[in-house]
Amino acid sequence: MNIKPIIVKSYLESLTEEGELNKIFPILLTSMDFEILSSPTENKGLSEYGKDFVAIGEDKDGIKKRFYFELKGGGDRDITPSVLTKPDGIIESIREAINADFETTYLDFEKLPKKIILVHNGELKGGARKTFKGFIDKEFTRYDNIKFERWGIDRLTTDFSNYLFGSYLLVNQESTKLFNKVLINLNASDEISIDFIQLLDGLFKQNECEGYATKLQRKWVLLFETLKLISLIIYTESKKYNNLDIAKRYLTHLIIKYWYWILKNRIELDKKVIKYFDETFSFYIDVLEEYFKRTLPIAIIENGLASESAGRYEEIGYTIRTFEYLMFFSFFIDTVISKYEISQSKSKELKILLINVINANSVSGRPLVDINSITIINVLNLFIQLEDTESATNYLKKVLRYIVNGKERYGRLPDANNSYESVIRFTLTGKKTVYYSDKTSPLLAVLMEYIIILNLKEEYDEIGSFLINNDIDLGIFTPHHGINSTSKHLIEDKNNDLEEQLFSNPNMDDGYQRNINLIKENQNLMSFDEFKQNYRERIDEFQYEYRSDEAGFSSLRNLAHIHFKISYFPDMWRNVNV
Amino acid sequence: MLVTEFIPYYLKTRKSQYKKTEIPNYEGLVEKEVLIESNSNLLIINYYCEELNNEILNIAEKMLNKKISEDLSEAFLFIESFQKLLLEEYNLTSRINPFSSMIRGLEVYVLSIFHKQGDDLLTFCSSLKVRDKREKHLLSFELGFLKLLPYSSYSSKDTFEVLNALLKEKELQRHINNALYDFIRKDLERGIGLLEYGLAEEESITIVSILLVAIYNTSDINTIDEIVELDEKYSLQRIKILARLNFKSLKDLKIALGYLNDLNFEDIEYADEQCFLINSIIKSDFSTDEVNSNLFNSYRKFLNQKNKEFVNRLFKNVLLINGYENDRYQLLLLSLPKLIDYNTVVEFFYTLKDPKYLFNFIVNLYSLRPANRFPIRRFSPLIKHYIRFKLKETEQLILSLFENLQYGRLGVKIILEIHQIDFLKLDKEEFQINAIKSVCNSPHSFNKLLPYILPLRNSMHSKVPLYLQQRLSELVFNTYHETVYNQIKEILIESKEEDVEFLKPIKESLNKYYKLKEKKESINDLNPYENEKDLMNLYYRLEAEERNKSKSKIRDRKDGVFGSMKTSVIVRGNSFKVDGKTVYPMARIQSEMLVNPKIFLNPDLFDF
Repeated sequence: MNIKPIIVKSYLESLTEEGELNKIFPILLTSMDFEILSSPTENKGLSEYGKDFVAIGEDKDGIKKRFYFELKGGGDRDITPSVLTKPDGIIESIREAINADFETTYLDFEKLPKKIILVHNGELKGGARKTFKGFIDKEFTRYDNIKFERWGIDRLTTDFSNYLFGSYLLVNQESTKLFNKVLINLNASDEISIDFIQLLDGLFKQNECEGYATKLQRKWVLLFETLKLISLIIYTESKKYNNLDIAKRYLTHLIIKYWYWILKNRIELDKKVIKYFDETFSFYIDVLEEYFKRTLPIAIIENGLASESAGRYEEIGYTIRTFEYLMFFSFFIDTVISKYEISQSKSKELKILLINVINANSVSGRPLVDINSITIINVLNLFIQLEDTESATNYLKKVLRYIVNGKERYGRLPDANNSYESVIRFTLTGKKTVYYSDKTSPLLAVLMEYIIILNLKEEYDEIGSFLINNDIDLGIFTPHHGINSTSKHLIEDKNNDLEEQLFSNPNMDDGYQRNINLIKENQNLMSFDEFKQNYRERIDEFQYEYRSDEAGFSSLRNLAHIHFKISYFPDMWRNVNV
Repeated sequence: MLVTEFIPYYLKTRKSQYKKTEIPNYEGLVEKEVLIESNSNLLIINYYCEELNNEILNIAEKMLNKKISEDLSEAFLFIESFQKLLLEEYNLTSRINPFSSMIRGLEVYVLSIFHKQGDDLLTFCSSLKVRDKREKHLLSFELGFLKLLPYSSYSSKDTFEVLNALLKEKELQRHINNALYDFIRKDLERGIGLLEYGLAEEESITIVSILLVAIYNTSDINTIDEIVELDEKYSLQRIKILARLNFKSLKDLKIALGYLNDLNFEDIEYADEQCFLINSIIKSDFSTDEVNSNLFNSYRKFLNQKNKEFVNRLFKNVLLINGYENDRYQLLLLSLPKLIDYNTVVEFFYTLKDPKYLFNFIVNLYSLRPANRFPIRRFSPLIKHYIRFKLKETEQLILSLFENLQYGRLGVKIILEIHQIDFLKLDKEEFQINAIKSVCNSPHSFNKLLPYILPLRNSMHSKVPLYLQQRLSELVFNTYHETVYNQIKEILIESKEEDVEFLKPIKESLNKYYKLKEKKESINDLNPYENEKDLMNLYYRLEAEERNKSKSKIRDRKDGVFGSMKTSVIVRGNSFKVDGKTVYPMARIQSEMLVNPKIFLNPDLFDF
């Protein structure tokens, strides 16, 4: 049975929110080879005069025309008598479209035949049919050079099936089934479904880099549009579950995969490609923004991130959630500051929000696993970057207090194997499983270096003695790929450079564990100055020129560390200056 | 009342003492020494009264329908049968035997008859088999014999001979001691004769020691010279004797003090007796503050020794001192690091009258580890003991814990588990606020504590009700929501305007909480049921597993309640049926505790 039209139709029908149709429609136009001259976002705040989208394209009669698309979605998606006649309703919009002027530099735009198309993801209801037909007949017989068409749900289903879903997503029965399974099981797991991973893998596998002369290959355009479409569908479906965390998870994976494909094909500096990627990435950031707009009012209340009903699980769950939340929130702030160049006052506003979340949720300094270092480093770097060393110092002290307390009271350090399961087992049974590793602490190694960065001598002495007394080793993962590396010959994965590994391999281990020594020859703790000197000598041990940074997407690297739970490379903090 | 009338009354009532009003015309019985007047109102039975026992023997012979045998062993068997018959008659078990004292008296009476008849009790006594191989009715023969001893006519030599033999039985030593005291009380001259014989013939030093002490303590005769002159090989025995004297003069006391000049840190037995002697001197009216102060110094030297066994043994003597509570408490603190048995500490505090030392002790201990897990229950019986005997002082001490916020939590634990307190008795505003803070920070059972802080809304200090209102509002909003709000509402008086006003902001907090809850529930983005299902399932599965493990651990314990039982698991159902028609419902055991959710939200902040 061909379920493709059913899936597409039911999806289009489900776009009931105001503006949802506006988001997906340009993807269709691009896939149909229309050249979009104007979209609703470009007319923000101005009267649209009945033209949501203005585009140039070839009509089915083979003649090039200018198209004025008037979109009616949300509550107006079905044509009913009231939708027809109400203020700003269909009749009013079409009349405005007929009379509207559109200024453009497009050559001979005014000479092209004009076509007005009413797009709505609903039906023409029986009660409105006669009035509508009468109005169209009467209105358009007056103009020879203006034609009219209505694209309702059936037409949209056909076009979306043929031009978009048909290209990649629903190309055969297998992929149709896969896509369907992704949508059905969207909220079934806490992670990303294997179907989604397979779906994306399949999409990227079909598109190997072959290069192009002046114009991007159509199949690439269709791939990029398909990725945009998937993002959009995931987003709208997540909203149906009233859960943007799903979108956050799935889209993070999509972005990482997408960027890996770009890196792998070495096209990260290709402006035409990056334009498409940026659209999807911006959409991802928009989704994150919406996620934080929904959740921040809760997160800044005392213990706001704690669940009201999850019971004793919260002794672990609340901490996991808080660290996850802070990790993404700090990533979001860093991205909008670095990529979108927001004003200083806006940055300050975001920083205050971050502080509020940290202060409202008491567990914000209570790492349970080593990879919580990502959150901690993100927060510290943000504070330092925003010239707030006091907040950075306070947060670092808070984290250190929790770590020391955890060791002294419960005999545990954050699990270096990053397994929340192991932490739960330890919490409930008091016994560490063989998978629980806390003899060597990468997290404390990083924090000791931050103690130097923030010049905290007292904390150095206290934590240094604590580490020695408890016989805790410090080690930092350092890739072999650094500019000054003396171990490049040990790289095993020669097919992928450092970033390609980072964006594709959660188990990457092309590097070494750098031991951080605290003890002098006489077995005493090194002085603060001695340790500082050693730290300075370590700074250049790992430096790297990232391709993502050159392409203007430095924050994507952070996202890869977040997504694959790979601890940050040392340049993430060693290049920070107070 | 006649003796013949009294005995049936006694058998029926089975009491060892009576109110005078219970026995009409008791005077006759007192005259015949059947009863002894204990105080203005009480009469005690003299079980060794000849006339009483003669009548009891008559009753026994009637009940058993035979005369008592002329054979000593048979006679004891007769008495044993009489006892058995009485127990049966009154439907009693031998475990709860109210006739034991009467039977002992009868045994002594029968022995005295045999003694008077010239029977050789000494030979009989020494011919008895060891106790675990002896006939049941003769098991307590020696006890009766020792009771008879003061009334017998044996020579000193014979007496020493039999006592020497009986001394071998450890459990008889106490009875021998009592018998010798009775001996001296009954006939001092004979007692002195016995002592002189013992000293001259170098008889058993144990019996000689008892005689030296008994004569010194119960008569005007001073035996101190004889004690001092004891052979050097009896130095330990001498110190033992001195330690048991009730000194008659300063001179004697000074002689005893001389034996404390050299404290013995080597011989634990000797040191123990030196401590006992210290106690005797401190107790004596002839001692002075200066002497006592020096003696406490000697104690300090003893308890400062490194040897734990030494300190533990000697510290027991500190428990026997009366008064001097501060000095004794200091000795406890000095010995504490070396004391092995916690019960010694508990026992120690039972000997003090002033509760302030216990509270000082608890506060010091708590300061070392100020945690919610502080085991206050360990001190619960002691605190209750003081509450019973020194209520006002103890309550004041509990209240004083709230004068310092650091100890407020300790105070809360006492209130929760041991004794209720009226916080309005705290005089200063700061202290009342401390009490509110301490209660509000309690990690659990806030519902039980609430009734104690709510009266503070009527405090004379204007800031206190406002502070209470603010904290309760916070708790209702952040922590306990409607549970505590409803409880507050229930306790407050609806018709009282002040109470209605007091409740208003708390109600507002509850409404604010409802709005927040609604807001949280309006999205699933942060909902663990949606986004952390796997970890949540793991957590609760493991938790259930751990609970079952500890249940089966209890079930499988061989020494526990279930050790001797066969247990079956009810797989499904709320009741069970073994055989027959009855279906037994399972007992439902339920306990409930209002827990501050912050305990599990951030366990690191709470040391619960």
